[in-house]
Amino acid sequence: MTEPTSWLPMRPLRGGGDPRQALALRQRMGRANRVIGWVLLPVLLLATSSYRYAETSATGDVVATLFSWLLIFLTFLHSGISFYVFGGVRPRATLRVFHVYFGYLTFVLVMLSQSTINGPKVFHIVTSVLMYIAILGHTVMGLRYQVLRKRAQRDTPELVPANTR
Amino acid sequence: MSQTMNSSREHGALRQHVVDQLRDEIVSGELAPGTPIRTEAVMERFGVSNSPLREAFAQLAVEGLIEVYRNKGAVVSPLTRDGSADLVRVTALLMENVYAWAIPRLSGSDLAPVRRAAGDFELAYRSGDYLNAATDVGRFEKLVIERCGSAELERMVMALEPKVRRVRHLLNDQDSLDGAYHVVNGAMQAVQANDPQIAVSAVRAFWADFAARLDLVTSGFVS
Repeated sequence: MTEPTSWLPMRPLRGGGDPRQALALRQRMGRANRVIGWVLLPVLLLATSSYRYAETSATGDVVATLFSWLLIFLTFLHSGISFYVFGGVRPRATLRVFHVYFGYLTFVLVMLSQSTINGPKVFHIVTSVLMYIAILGHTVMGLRYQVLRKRAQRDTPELVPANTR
Repeated sequence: MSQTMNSSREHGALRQHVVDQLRDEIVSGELAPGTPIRTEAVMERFGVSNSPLREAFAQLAVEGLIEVYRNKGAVVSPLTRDGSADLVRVTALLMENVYAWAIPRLSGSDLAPVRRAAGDFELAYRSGDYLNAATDVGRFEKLVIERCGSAELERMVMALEPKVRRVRHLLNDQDSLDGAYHVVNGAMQAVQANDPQIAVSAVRAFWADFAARLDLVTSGFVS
């Protein structure tokens, strides 16, 4: 049986196979991706702070490089999974849709800022400032949804699936 | 004058606090069916006098969550197999009508918030954010109920809500949210096709599935 076309903001699931399995996979990935998002935050702070000591010693340089690569890897992973789970959401005036697109923008700014490290200093500073503003905005929105999750658990426990508590 | 108003507001807030707290405990099953609620214990726990407590008990009794006995306090209403099945049957009937009446009325500014709630629900649900999806589907349902165009029907549905929440708590599993996804999707397709029957069928299927699963869970209950 083919699924009726969804009017909803997300595109119909593609890729063939059982749509329920495709949905379940996206749900698992989405849940894992939220954890990756929160792990990214301290990694970003560590990568930024270790970069200051990169030129003071050989160890500092190695640590800074490691954190920088970890940051880039996790950013790619977080953004890649987001794009897999949400894809091109149909634009709609809701915070949730904005959060998705703002996340995509944040990814672009992170990459731009990282790729200008060895370029003109002014360009790197500007892109870095924009990146931090975007990360802050994205994190605040993520934090808001985390608060709403806690509230849902408290206020309407009867609607919350048992496997998420 | 203002002192009287403040005192009455405080009285109302105290009563509401007791109602909300006891309701949550009954709905979640923390206070099991048949549990006696002793007046003195509740007064001591919440630091309230007899008057707001009596009013709180009266409200919970109207909601069908407790049974009050004169001079004996109250008891959490029993949850029987037949009673639960009956509640689900009536709720299904009412909800079918809610959707049948609301769908033709959903257009323009009435439709926009419903569509936003449905969109938010789908994004949360598809990304495995079940907690926010649960909130969003509740918001969606409330908006549809408000738009059914019948104050009486809205009142009847809302009057059953606490009891329905209590029964729903027995089945707080993934299947309920999956079913809700089909209801939301069905409702929005019904709007698009201008055919309320699509939504009504989805609602009927949801509650039929709910009743079947509830029957399994309550098989050990007293009829």
